[in-house]
Amino acid sequence: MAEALLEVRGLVKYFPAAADWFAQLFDRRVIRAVDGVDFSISRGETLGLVGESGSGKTTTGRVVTRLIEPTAGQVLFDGQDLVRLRGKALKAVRKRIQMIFQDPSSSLNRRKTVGQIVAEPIRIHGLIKGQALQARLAEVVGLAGLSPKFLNRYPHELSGGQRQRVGIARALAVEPEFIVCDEPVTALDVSIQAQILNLLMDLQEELSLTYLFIAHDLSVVRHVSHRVAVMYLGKVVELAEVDTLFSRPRHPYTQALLAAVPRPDPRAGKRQVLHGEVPSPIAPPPGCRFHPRCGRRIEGVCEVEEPPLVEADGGQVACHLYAKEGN
Amino acid sequence: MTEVLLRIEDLVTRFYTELGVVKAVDGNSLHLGEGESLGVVGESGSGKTVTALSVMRLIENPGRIEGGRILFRGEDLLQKSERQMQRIRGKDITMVFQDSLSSLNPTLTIGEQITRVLRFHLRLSRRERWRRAVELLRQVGIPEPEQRVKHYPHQFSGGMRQRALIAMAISCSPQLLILDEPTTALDVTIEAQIFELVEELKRAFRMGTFLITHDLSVVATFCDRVVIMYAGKIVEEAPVTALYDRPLHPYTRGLLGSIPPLEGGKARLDSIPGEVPDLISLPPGCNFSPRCRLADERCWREEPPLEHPGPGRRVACWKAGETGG
Repeated sequence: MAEALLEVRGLVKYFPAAADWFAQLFDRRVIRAVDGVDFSISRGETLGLVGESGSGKTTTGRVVTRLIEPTAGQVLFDGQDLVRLRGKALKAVRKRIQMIFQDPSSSLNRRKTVGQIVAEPIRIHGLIKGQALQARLAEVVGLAGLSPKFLNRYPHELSGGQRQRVGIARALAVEPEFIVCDEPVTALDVSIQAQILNLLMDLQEELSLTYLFIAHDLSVVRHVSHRVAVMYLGKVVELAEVDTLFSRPRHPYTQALLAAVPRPDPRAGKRQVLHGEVPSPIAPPPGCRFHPRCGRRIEGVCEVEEPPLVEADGGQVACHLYAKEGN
Repeated sequence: MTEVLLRIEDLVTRFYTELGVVKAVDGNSLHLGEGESLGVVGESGSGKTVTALSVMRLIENPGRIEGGRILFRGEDLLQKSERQMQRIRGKDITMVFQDSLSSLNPTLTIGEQITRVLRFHLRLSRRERWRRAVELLRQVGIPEPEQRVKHYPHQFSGGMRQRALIAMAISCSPQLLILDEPTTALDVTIEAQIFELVEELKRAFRMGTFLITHDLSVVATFCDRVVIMYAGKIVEEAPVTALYDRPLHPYTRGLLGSIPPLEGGKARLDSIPGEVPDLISLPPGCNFSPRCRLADERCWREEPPLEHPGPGRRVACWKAGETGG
């Protein structure tokens, strides 16, 4: 096993359920967005993070980049705990961690040119100035597959795919080691999705990047990831090598999720339908959080006791069906 | 043989913008039988939504339907007055949009919105209307419909809102249901639930469904026939199995190649280079030629006609069926 670049331990993030401080005086309920998550990512690896809306995958990505502060837990990046870093030390680490967002239209400043957008992180970190900057900008947008003529254009002059390439160029500008990709192709047309996925994979190889790849589209995640973590209601329920997870999913939730994916094949037969919806993260079900929707729940066990995430057969799974077998 | 429910002939819909004329739908013909599911597939700007809005006669300024006929049960919708269309819209032909939050009125309860549709189209007493609304919510799988009918749209989840919209769309037993990317904003599990529901309703009412989507996987599981659109034109049409077994148009093959497979190898995706063209200044010849790997002189110069290469199939390509090197 290669050295871990990022290690997340016991990560917890609660948000107040009430909208402002006044309402919070009367309503102390919390949204348990992320509720005890552990995983690690090796250098050069892509960890896919999948789950439905409300599973906590985006919150996890935001805590890892420290866009938001966790309620508890550690985020070890190259050995340093990001949560405890302040000032200069934090800024130094931030240069090494970047993020690519879902919606390229709202994540780019409309009043700035592509050149100004991509130069901003370079300027903030005081990396390159003067003449060399223009050359660097041309190089970076080139890496993202855009010609230097785009540097003088504004975001509204670009197509969705081109805007996402600008988002990628901005992330690459400070030569990061680790990039959190939050649904980077969800807003794009199918043919453009494939271009961006190919680009992200080429960049990983060229620049030996490490990715945390957050997406709800399982075929996309399978395509880019080395390992995959499945989240449900703030918890990781299964984590395994990508081929293992997709060929032998063990957690009933992973199985249901995979069965729901439509195949581009009219003979694939009917999709299996998982009924019900994800419960509220304000009051998650007791015991295993998936038990109310689970077809294989063990009465008297699953609704009482929360299954821990345990090592099993090369991966990890949090389910009483597997805990019982003693791994 | 089933009755033809909808027949579109040489439809032309254009938008007169400040920047130029957008040829959103450029002379397309298609048909849909009773109880049949037609998938209309394409990327942004392909004209799939404009086709549906033309059928609903919901094209607004600066857009205009400039040519063709839209025959619904043999009658041309383009000859109907707005008053006549209002009797058809929401009753015989209904449409479910992608964004459920903006399709619903935030200031009215779900029940008020459903009963308004019922009041407009059917002769029912107030009490019957509300009973029907509760029944419809139950039918689309909303738990505790007696309570839910009194709730506002923001109190529903995305999946539940989409169900409520479907309830409204089927409230007067339509013959044609148009679904415009009904599940794009939803999780796969909810998407599977919604299509399971539409499938049941289709069987129960023998509704024709017109599904607009960019997702060829969804089409494979739900539709009988598929029409592929690109830059305002139909480029290929086929029964669903034939399309997946032997796609003829290079664009269709490109779309299929762009889907990362869930099983099997992890080869590089066979993406389509370039971007969708600007509908104001389309390239000469075939609209797809600038992005096509097989294109040659003729493709850049001459527009390929829509031909019939086999039963139920149409394709507009000089190189139809060729795979190239």
